[in-house]
Amino acid sequence: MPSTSTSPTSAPSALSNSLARDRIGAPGIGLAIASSVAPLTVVAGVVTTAIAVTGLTAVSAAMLAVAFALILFAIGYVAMARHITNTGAFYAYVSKGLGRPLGVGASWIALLSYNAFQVASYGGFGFIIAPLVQSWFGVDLPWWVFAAVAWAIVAYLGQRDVSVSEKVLAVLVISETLLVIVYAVAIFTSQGFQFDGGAWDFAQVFGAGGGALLAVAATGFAGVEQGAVYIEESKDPKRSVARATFATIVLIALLYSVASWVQISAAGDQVVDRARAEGPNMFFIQAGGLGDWTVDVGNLLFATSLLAAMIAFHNIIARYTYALGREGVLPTVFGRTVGGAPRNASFAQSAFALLVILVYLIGGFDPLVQLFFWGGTTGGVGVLLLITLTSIAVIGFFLRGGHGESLWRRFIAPVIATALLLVISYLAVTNLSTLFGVEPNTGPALVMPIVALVVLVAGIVWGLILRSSKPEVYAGIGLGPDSAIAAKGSGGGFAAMMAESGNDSGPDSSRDRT
Amino acid sequence: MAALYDQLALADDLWMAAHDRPNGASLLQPKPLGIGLGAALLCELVMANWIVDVDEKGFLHLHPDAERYAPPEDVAAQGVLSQLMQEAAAGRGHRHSSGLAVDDWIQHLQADAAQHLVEQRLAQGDHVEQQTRGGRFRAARTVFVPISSSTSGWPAARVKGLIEESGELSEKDLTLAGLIIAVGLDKESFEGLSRRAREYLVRQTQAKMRYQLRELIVRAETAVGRIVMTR
Repeated sequence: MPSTSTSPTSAPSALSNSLARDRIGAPGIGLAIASSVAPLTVVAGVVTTAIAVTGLTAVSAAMLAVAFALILFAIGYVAMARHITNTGAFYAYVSKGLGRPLGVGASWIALLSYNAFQVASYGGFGFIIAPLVQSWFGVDLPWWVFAAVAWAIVAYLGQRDVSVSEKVLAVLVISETLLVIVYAVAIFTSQGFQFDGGAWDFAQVFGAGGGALLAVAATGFAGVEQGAVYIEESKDPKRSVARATFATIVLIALLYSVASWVQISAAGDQVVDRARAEGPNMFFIQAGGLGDWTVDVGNLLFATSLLAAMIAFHNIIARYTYALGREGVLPTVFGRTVGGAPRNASFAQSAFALLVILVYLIGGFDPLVQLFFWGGTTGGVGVLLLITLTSIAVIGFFLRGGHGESLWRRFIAPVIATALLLVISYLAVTNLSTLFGVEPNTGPALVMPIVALVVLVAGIVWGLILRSSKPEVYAGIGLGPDSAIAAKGSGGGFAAMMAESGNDSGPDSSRDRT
Repeated sequence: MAALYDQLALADDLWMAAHDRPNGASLLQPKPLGIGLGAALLCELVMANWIVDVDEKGFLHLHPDAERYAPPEDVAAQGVLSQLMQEAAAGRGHRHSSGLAVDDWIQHLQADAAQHLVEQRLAQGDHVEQQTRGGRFRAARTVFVPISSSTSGWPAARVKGLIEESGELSEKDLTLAGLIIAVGLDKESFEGLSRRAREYLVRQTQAKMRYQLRELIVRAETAVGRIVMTR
């Protein structure tokens, strides 16, 4: 029988060793974040869109401004992630910091925004691939055929375990990043190239139309918040996620701003006209010094970049939907796993995406402008607003209790970040008509804010309804899978099944029987 | 033959349900499978009274006289129990000992031992055989497969039949059903179960399953959920 006087340190804890072995480090987290961002889509597509739409050139300045605000935001965000659960979802932060009803509203805004991004990609993909196939194979097929093929790939991957799509994503993201670097180098080493300050004209960012630049720049960073997902599994919860998130934001910002600087410099005075005429091709044409193939290869990888974004956002949406199903905020059928994968949640997103593609196909709407640009802008502004709301939630959370975090992390940085994000959000929202390319307060510039407001209010109302009608579900809002432990009414599967029966509210009632 | 199958331990039954495929491959990815098997092994220890409590904060409590009894003969139960007792001993005297946290244990068993221990036990009883897979494009690896599809199909089919006929389900049967649902196997194992049958299962679980097992099943389900969120 082991004696209690055995020195505690001499008995090694097999448990802590094995738990430590399974942990993920900063590089792994960084790669995961990078997979949610689409570098080539941003560098080729987003940059030229920004220039074309606003007639301004200060893209690099806008990128840096947004990155600066995001880094400050990330300080408080990662600090708060150490003290809550379900850290990959913005609404978890909003629930804890600003209350559960607003948390439900935020979750629905998140679903709307991520879905807008995801579905928009199908339009872009079809638009890019159709002419390529036509020129390579002489086959003339409409955009939606290719959109449907991409849809099938994403739907298939979504039904399988995520590790398959992870590998696919890593390959796609690495290849597109390499292309960006290779082309950018090719451009600035080409004959007659001169660096131009126009990309860094910060005055433009805060002048007329600058808000649109900022909004477009913000779309390029959607996905950086995903690092927080790994906080509980990271080797060093205090540092790994923070390091990975900051490093990724900085690296992405450098990549974007340098690549845009190079493009804008190379196009010189004609940059706005060229961006309007050539679109994403401008970047590929400028790298033409490498060979005739730069445009075709560029377009091909642009399409795969969109494919990567579709997959990444599909997974994010499936996880959100799954977590909300586990909590009972959405129907619990979404909170079920099959073979360990959230198949019902994945299926729902695939069904929605297919519906949108069909609507655009039948309505004869334009895949590039009306699906890709408008959808991407909606998603980008939505995520920007979510990040701003989360930043406020971080302040609210730490005001209730410091949790041992420093004043800088829990108050100063979040407050500055919130102020910056509010300014950026305000500028973005007031420039919506520029972003959408329509007359002020018409078309999507009018519809989008109204829809967003309706969705937000509906979510808040639903949260309030849950508070009075299903308090055991209300208690679990924001907790994701962990809601089953805290709130016996949720959980999906076994926990929900036991709670649905009504008689029993928890283990206590059967405690007496033993 | 039925009597022989009834003798399989809980974790073994779950393993079989997870491998009920024509080629004997697993229906679950390694992590959810490991979580289910880890939780099942802990449930076995609860039913044998080695673990006497799983409290609401998520801590396991071993029987106070656990060390005095001869360890269990079966290799899997013994494997888990000896680790638990080792940790308990290491924790004793620690000022900051937090005790045996269920979530940590499920995680540890999933990563380290659960699948291996269960397959070892099944191999000893000749319920599984070894096969080599891959070799052409991937490194060859050895896996265990059920010796027949009637062996793999029996545990879930038996329990499902009892539920459908409103038969007498033992606590072990109910725990198996709960774990099947918790790890997301019910789509295959309990396909076509009517609403009435599910309600019967719920009532039986409420009536017969001790809360410690309920707690373990819920925590296993949460652990599977966390994996979904972190990928």
